[in-house]
Amino acid sequence: MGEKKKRPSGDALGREANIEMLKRERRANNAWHKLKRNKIAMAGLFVILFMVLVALFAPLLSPYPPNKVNPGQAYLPFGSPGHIFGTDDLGRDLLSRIIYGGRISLIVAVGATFVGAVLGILLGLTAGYFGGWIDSLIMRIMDGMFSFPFILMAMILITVIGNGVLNVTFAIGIANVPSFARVVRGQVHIVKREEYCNAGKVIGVSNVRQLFLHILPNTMSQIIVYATLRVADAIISEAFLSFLGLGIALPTASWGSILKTGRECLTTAPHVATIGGVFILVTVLGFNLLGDGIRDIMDPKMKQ
Amino acid sequence: MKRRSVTTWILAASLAAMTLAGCGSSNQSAPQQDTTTTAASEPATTAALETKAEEEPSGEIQKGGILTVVVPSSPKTVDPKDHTTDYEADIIFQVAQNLVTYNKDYTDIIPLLATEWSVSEDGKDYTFKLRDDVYFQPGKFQDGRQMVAEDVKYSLERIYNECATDRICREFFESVEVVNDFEVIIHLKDSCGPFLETLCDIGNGILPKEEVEGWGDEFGYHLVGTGPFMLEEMVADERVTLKKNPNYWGDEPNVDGVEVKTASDNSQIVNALVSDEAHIGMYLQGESIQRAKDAGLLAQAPATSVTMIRFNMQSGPTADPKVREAIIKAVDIDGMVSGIYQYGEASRIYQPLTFLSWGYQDKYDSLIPEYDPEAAKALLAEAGYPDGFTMTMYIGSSTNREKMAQLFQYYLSEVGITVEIKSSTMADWMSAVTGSYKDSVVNSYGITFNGTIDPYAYEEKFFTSNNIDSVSNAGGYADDQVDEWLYAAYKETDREKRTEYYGQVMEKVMNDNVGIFYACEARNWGIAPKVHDSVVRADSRLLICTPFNNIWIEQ
Repeated sequence: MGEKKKRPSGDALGREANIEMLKRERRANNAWHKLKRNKIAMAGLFVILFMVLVALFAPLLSPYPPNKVNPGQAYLPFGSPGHIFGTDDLGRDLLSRIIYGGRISLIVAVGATFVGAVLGILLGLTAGYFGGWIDSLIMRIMDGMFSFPFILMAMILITVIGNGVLNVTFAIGIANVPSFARVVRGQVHIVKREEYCNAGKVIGVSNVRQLFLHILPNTMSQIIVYATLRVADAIISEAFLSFLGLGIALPTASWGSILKTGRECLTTAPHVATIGGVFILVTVLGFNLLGDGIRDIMDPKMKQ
Repeated sequence: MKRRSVTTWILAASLAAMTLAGCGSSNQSAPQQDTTTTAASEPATTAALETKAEEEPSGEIQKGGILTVVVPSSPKTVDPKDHTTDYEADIIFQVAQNLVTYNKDYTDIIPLLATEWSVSEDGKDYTFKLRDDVYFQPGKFQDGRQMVAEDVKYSLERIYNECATDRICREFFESVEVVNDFEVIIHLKDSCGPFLETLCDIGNGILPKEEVEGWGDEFGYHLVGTGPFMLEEMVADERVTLKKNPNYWGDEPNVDGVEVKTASDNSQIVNALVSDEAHIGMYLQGESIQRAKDAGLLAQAPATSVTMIRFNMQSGPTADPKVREAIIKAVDIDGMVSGIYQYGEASRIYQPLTFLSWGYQDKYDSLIPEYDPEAAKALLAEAGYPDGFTMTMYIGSSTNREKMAQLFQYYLSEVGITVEIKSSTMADWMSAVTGSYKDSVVNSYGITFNGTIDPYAYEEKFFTSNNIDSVSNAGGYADDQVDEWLYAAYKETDREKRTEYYGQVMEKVMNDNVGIFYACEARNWGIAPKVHDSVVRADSRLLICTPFNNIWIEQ
């Protein structure tokens, strides 16, 4: 009896086709694939990656030490031999200061967002989950912090604790806390009413387990989107504080301090402010584009 | 979240606009060190400064018009007793007058409300004969009565008794005796070298008692005196208006009035000058100097000031004389000065005294250790710091001071010394620095000190041990011999002998390497071409109608 060539049955055909279709659908729904399809978001990601790589390899890429002064070569214009971005008021190479300044600006921005996110998440989770007087207490404190303009609060903190990379990071981070807390609390209010949370409660899952294993992961998408946008804000905040002379201590380069130096010579040596401003602009734009892209992917209301 | 994102976009766009604004003016010249005019002062140390304002007036004098002056900060009170800033002193100077004042070149003292004076042999009594044609401006509590000797007594004793700042050599001042309506004798406890110069301080302006006591605490907004202009209106943080005094005893002012406006941003001051909205812009700094120069408006004069770095003389590593010498040797001071003052707005100095002072002797310039980083390293090793150390530099936040601190930091890093820059507001800086000799938190600090042409105004303030708890000698320099010389110079009235004493002090403190005295910052004004007979003097006083000039505006 010759072996009969097996023909796929209609069911089998359907199953494989279904698997393939499911795979395609999963791939299509995969966040990374969705992001890849968003060209503007990818441009933002590319900018961020570029800045991060430049910051990481600053010692290799920088042609001069960033703080090396040369008063005899002050205000060399853009494209000068040996100083492609020119020099600043003390004759320091602007390219080197931009490279090292990017490192500081990114560290401060990411660090401040991290500080704000961690504290804000903890407070938001607690307030949203327990509700009642705990919620009222935490959120009224947050409202009190909200009543100060964001940058004013950072300035007050800097005045109290002094300037420097860590202090600026901390100050901007603290000023970030209320907004994170509010976002997280709102999400917790939605998530904690889901069936699986009620089920957890019924089977006696502890509050901590419920908060960190069931609720937090389901609020992460909103937090990630929000954090991406806050990084952009934090870059501007650092620049603003340094511009006012309240930020990074002298002579450490940051994009804000370069902008401040440029303000002193806006008419006679405009390249200094221009270069500092362009790097802030491009990086902030990068984070905003990426943030908008991620939001488009993760916001269920925008799923089309 | 969407809104937050939009805000961020707007901020980013604002930054872009700012950077584009920066691009828009690229046709302007880069700052240059060289200037086209000759030096305003004799010493070779003086950089070439613009002296446009000292040109002789040309053409027929035209009367009328309001002189508009723009300054960076608003006067708060114009009571001579309470004023603290130059902006206030400039207003007071137009309204109230002293017995004596400085001449045009700021080299000598000339009579103002006094016609002549004499000093007793023991130097304790100063007899002043007063003008008999001086009348106060009419006010709320008197109708423009004649000024008499009693007013001199009242005004000087008020400053002696009530002024928080010593403006009258308080330690030696005793009383004022009225001989008759137009003659007074000022009695001192002992002879006092700088006394006559002290009387030029605008705090010692002669005032009518009725007005001072009538207005009480509000006199600071209703000043009345004998000057060429009357205070008309003071609007806080906006403007002060003055009008011509019709009963002025001297030459009638050429302008009908003066309006002093406030513009905190130097660019605004130059813009106001260029657009013909203002006639004089005072206290220009940084890039604005270049802009005023490019527009042909700049007028400069070397100032009676000393800008310096002082060391902690009693605590921390700088208490060691070898370390101080090493630090001075490590700094290329010429390079530092050219790096800080890129618009030619200062002159290099070497000693803690302005070269405009009659006590200045250039032979002490050479006592400053020469720039030699290798010798500095050797000295540090000798002092027990072969690998260097970490020290602090406290500065009040300003562009020039920040540049200085960064250059200082860089030069010291070349010999292994790490400098931590502590930049803060002036109030915080003063609080940190005052009395800082007691511990090693403040190892060095930067300061500009304005004085007069009397060495007393510098050396006494900087080096007497009586002053170690004030900001002028916060480094805590204390030396018995120097104290003796300073006291002898203070009591002496003969200028030659005083010069000798101050020379001895100078030699000692220069050899003790108490600091780096690096610049005399210039007075930088912008003056519109239509303003004639203006004078920019070393003390930066706003001189409108004086015994030696009378500004007029080309209509």
